Amino acid sequence: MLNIKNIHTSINETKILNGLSLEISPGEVHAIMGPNGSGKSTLAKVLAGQDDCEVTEGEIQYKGENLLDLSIEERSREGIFVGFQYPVEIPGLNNSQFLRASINAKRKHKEEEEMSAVDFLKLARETIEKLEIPQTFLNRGVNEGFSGGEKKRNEIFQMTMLNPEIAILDETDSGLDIDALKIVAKGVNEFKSESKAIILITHYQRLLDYIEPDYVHVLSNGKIIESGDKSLAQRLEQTGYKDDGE
Amino acid sequence: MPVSLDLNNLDRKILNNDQAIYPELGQIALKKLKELGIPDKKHEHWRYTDISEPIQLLEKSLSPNNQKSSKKKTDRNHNPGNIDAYWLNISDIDFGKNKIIEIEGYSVQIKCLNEEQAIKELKINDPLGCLNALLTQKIIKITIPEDSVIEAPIGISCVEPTYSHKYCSNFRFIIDIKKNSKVSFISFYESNSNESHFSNIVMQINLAKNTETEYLKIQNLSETHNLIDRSIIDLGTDSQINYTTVDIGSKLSRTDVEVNLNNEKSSAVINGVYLCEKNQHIDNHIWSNHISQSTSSTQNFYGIIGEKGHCVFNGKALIKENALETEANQYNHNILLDDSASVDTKPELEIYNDSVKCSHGCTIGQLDEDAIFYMKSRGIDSKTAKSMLISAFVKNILSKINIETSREYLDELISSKLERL
Repeated sequence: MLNIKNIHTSINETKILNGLSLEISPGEVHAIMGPNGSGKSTLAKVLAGQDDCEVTEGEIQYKGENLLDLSIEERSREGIFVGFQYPVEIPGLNNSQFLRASINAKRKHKEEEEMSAVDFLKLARETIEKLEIPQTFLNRGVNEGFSGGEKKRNEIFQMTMLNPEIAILDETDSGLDIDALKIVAKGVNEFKSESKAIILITHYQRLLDYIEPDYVHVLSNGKIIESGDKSLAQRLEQTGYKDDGE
Repeated sequence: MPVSLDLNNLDRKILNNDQAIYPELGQIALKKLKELGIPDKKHEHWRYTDISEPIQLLEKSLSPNNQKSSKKKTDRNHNPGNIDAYWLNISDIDFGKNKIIEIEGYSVQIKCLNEEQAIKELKINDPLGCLNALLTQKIIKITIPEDSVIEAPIGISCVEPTYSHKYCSNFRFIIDIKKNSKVSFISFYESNSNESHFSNIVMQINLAKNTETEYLKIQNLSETHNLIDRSIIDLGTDSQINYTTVDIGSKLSRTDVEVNLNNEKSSAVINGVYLCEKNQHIDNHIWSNHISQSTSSTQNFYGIIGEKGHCVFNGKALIKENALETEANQYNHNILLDDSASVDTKPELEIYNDSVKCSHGCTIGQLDEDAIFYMKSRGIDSKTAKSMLISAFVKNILSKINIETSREYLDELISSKLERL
């Protein structure tokens, strides 16, 4: 589904990713762990298509296509969802208006009929209830005045509504208390299926207590230095990132 | 271009022949105008707005060939933008006559003032107001009786040019709201031709004790039209006004709002939205004069400026010695969509006592690139994302308009303007 081959990137001429390779198939959950500055968030940015991340070497294949040829919006419409570490606030633009435009942009791309306001609201209300988010969310500005935890829950809400094929969640657990973490994990677990893939980018093992990964990768100095199963994360929790190069 | 108007010539043209509708008033206005002079860029309040074209149009309108040359009646059933309101038809009210219209069971009086009444009622304190009084074709007074609570808005439609002179029209409206009343108004400016035109309009709005007024101005004139629109608002005890100006069209649009908080516990919210495109010039000058104690005023203006557009905002709160416990706030926020777009903004406070709570500020910036990226990452294309951000920005003001029937029209008007920006 997603095949990252020997990716090198730089931001403002500083090298961040340094030969990262990773292959992800449908139904898999991959956790990417690593110390601060190892390039975890840069990987999310590269997959989202953020302009300031220049890919200097390597390639990324997504469903057989060159991902780097797709624009930011095309990636989303083709089923890639990136949940950001710091989602932006957009005062004045309400969540439901934003999300409906987003869903319909994807539907239009797939040559499907637009979702009506009534159908949208029905789906949004059902989803929001499952995620234990107050209904008033829908009429509030996108992330406007949201707490850190609310912003992260909003990312999961958007992910569920957009129903992507692959979700890349960048530090979705950071800043969450244990109750919020459980809600977020529940949302991700409900999203999990044989046809979907998930990349969890996280600093701590605790998220993986709630969302079980199939693979755990350790990122250091812009490349994967070790891969394993869930036990790798548990080991890291005890020993720390030894060979982090910082 | 220097602004010049031969005032002695005006004297001869207007007042020494039978064309003046209000000759005595004209003499008073001309005397005042000679003291004040026609403003040009040397005047602080006209520094950024060149009125040479409006003045030329005014002069052209005085040529004998143009006097009363395009007298047309407005459409009796004119309903701008299909906005549900009691639209007043001022064209059939003749000089010195009045009529009563029943609105929701209240008798609203509409009168075209005669000279004696006009001299008594008119406030003339600035050069353009003098020109308006000197050249006015009609002074319409609308009186809302005491204890009226009128749900539906009352609409005043200024479709230009109509029954006015070619090139230039000068109207003055006086809205008198008697005590304990609650009412809303929409003043609507649009063009019915693409001829060059200058409208010089004055609105005097008097709020008596314990009244509440919602006032919405929608300006969607053609790109050949110049508008100078001055509102003079006098507030009684415990009265409040929520005034919003929405400027979309015109070549040049200047809005002056002078709010006099003359009485205790009076409050004014003066808001504005302007969407300015190629070669347009939109200027808002707002004065809040706090004269009495426990008064409050808020000025909040949001602007979007496209390629080669130029906007001006000057908001001032003057707080006099006796205006204790005053609250005054002024904000102006601008988004420039192009390197050639520009704005001159100046929020000002002039305070003469210590018991005040004031704030002011302005911002000039571009659309938030991070927000655009975020929206794109959710599948929304760049153009739609920008348009949604602009709509969200102006919604800060539009959401504060309490005239439900105008909402749909304003949304459409703004969307169609955004297409051009």
